[in-house]
Amino acid sequence: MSGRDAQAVLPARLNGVLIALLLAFVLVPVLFMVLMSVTPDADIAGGTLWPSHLAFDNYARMWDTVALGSGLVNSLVVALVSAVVAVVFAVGAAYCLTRFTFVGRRPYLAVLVFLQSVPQVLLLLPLFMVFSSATTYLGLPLVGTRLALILAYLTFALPLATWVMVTYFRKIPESLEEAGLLDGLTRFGTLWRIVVPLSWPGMVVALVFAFLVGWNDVVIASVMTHPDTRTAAVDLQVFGQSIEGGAIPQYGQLMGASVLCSVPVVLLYLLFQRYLVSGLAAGAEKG
Amino acid sequence: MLPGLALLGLVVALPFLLAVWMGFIDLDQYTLRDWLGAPFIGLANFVEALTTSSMPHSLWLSVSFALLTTAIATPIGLLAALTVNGRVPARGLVRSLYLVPYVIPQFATGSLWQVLLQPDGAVNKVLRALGLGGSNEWLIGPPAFWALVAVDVWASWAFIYLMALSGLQTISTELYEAADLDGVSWWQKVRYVVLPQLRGPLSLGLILSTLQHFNNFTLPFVLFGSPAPEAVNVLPVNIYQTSFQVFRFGLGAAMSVLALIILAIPAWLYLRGVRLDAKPEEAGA
Amino acid sequence: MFIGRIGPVAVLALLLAGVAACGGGGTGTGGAQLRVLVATDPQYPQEQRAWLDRVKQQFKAKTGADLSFETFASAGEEQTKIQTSIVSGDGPDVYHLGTTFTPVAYATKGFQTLSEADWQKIGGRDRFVPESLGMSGPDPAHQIGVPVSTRPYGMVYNTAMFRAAGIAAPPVAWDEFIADATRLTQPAAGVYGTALDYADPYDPWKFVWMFTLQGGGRLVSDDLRQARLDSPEVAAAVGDYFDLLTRHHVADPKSVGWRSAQALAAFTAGKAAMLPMVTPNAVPALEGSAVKGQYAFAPMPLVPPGAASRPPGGLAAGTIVSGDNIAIASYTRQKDLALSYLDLITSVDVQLDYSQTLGVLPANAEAARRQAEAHPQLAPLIAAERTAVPTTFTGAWSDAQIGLTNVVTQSLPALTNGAYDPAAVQRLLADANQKVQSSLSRQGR
Repeated sequence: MSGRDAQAVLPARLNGVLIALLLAFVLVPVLFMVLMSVTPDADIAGGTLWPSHLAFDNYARMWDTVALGSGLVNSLVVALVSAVVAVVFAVGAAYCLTRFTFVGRRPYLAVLVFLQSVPQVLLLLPLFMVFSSATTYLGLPLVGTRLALILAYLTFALPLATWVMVTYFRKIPESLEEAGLLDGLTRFGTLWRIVVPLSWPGMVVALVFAFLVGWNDVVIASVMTHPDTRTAAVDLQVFGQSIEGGAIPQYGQLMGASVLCSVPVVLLYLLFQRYLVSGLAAGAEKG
Repeated sequence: MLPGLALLGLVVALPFLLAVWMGFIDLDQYTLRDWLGAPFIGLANFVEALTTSSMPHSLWLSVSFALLTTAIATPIGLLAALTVNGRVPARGLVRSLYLVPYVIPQFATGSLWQVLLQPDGAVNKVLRALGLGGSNEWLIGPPAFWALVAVDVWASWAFIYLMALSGLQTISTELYEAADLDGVSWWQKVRYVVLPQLRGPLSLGLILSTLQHFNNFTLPFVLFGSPAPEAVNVLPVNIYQTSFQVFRFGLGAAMSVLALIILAIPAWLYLRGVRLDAKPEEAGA
Repeated sequence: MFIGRIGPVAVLALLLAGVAACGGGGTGTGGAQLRVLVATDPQYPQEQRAWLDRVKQQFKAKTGADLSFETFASAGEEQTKIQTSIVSGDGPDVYHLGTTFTPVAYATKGFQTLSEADWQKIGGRDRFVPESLGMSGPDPAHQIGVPVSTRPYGMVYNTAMFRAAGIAAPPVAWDEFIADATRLTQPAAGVYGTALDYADPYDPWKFVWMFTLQGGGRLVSDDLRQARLDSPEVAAAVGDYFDLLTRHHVADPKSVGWRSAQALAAFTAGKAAMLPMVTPNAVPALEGSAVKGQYAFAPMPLVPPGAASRPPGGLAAGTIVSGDNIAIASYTRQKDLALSYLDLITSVDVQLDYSQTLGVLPANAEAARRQAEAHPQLAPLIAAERTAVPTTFTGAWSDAQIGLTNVVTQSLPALTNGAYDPAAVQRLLADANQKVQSSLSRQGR
């Protein structure tokens, strides 16, 4: 630990100014969101900036308007499971893709990018057809289960996570593994003992991306869920619904619930961001 | 590993093939129930999509929107990653706070900005206080496009930030120390150490971010509804309206497939160009 | 360091264990069960849940079977759910459908046509407010929808402002509406005769529809073969709607960017004296506002702008036939159970309970009569239902609705500048007309 921090690229003063600017850019609208969550709905519709009275009851009422609690649990479970599965598969797939040459390697990578370009709206109806025929023909009840959602999200999360890991693994020098192989480790052994410990930052990022696929989805979850498997993102729409014939949306509850929905993700990230330090940066493995 | 990949291929491939098939049949409210019997009409949907429909306009809008938002978000994300790579006070907290707009559900982001941008909303009030006009209609007509760009950048710049931050972890401290010994400025360090080392993650970030912005449905849909003002009738909203609101599933599928082809070719060329799909030694990374 | 690394992993492991424990959330059923799709009511969430529970109990007592309610949050979600169910033959047995969506649902053939015997099982057609049956099917022999609630559109006006301006009664013709609104408008005070919501996704097409029918025009020919969106009557109707702002200046110029929530907020803040196109859904917002006790409902004016009486062919169209229908999915294996549900939910007592709990108006005629007596404030809206005219019963209706909304949406930039170009409106209408025509032709195929 020398006095000079080599990883700090920007001059300290500039760094401070930039952090302040970025935090303002990020947080000012978020503070508006928090303010709106305690503002009466009519004030919001009328464009009032400062609430006529603080409507803290929005935070109490939102649990009654929708089943927000079970929605949050469903969202967490579905998004986390699909993210973890995606990252585990992605690590394996990316390792094969970066360490071996085989026929179809490049087309496979190209297909993964191709999948990122498919609009979800296109797949919605066919996905439902396939899942519901699984019930009809295989006797496998999928629609309305968490498993259906997890499978659907994997189709988007897995390619994303794989590409992130491919890019990350390419930066890990193969010489590190060769030493391991010489010491008698299997390929799997080198992956587990040498590559994975060096890859935490890539895995954390892949995990966040894969998690957000399921966390943010509204389109698929709105048709693939039953009341007891509904996710929070779908529940939120109830607050925002503008009913025909004159009713003011429940803006306050929507903003309160949204603030609440982002808390678990930020906390999870806060917990995991310590892994965003790789042995590679320290250069220790070289010795 | 292979059986798993095969299963996923099935979960992805089957719906996808069905979707492509939909592009060749006249699937609408009248044929939906017995969709296997919907008339096969060859390329008619594709011809309609390219000639009489509003798809070419939407495609152009979506491409410019995706490129523009990525171009704006990239420097912000990169700078943000640099600010929290070194030791700064409360680094974990700052790193996480940067993420907040990205993790707020997009439906809520859309509603938030719809309120802020309404005629009497906070944005106009702030502009008025600063003496910069303030009677703008942000959600109708041509300004809507710029409102969408701004909101989308705000909501998703953290994607590039995360890619860059993880990439920065692969840069050895020795490289910085060598640069320090040469007495270079911070800008030269960014230019000659950071950017070359981040080539992989940033190239990937650029393409994925462009594709994600292109396919963003929720944000424009919540902000502007459907039918959307022409300036923001981006492709996903157009496809949604065509398929689910007026039931032209065949036409909607044809539009998606065309968009996919038009997207996939440049994406593939790009991948080859930046050699992201090469093995490490071939790329000389 | 060790603990630090273990923490998150433990959290993950716990969460994963949680998944295993709560499994899939399947729908294990013992006895007969009827699945019903119904809209969530964000205004009265707890009351709605309690009401649904009461219905469940009554249904169990009546049939011995269970009801399982599934909910949707938005019209878009409802539509997608119906589409995916129809295409896969898998989903709820019974659907609550909005009236304007019923013709499209009918065109999909995904719902059961009710026979005379079926109608008898649910108490006969006489049980219902006659106008509410207007959106049940194309003709009495082919009805799929049973009305469960009506939601007539009317206007609400500020009684205090009317009194102060010496206006005795709400307007019954649009010229009178404009004259009253002009008298009530004081731009300097930020007060306008009316509030409009040109940027709303739902309201604008209803204005165009209303002005068209009152003026003797049609959106689709009566034989359902020709789209008429490019006719002079429709162009005039769009003009009448825009003129309220651009020619008569009786609405806040900001109305161009308003949705229904902002227009309602202007009315509740006392910034607008009249608010057209509202339903009983507005009551909670009105009751919780500064105009509580100073507002009254009225039916919409029935004589089109610029006329002393309706022209030949003009209809007394005050509101679309609005509300909810219930339809039985064609794939259901429980039709008798579904009919029992329809019978229960349209019976007088359940309808009264429904109406009192959730603020909707009953479709059951006897219940509507009793509600009008008990709630004089809602009586004008219940009366407005008698001026209800059904929207065209065709599978192409979504195209017409989206097309008209699009005409208004794309004209908003011009309205911001205080004027519109009739030629541009005509072009937009022609474009919309072509899409409706295409859908009508596909239906005839």
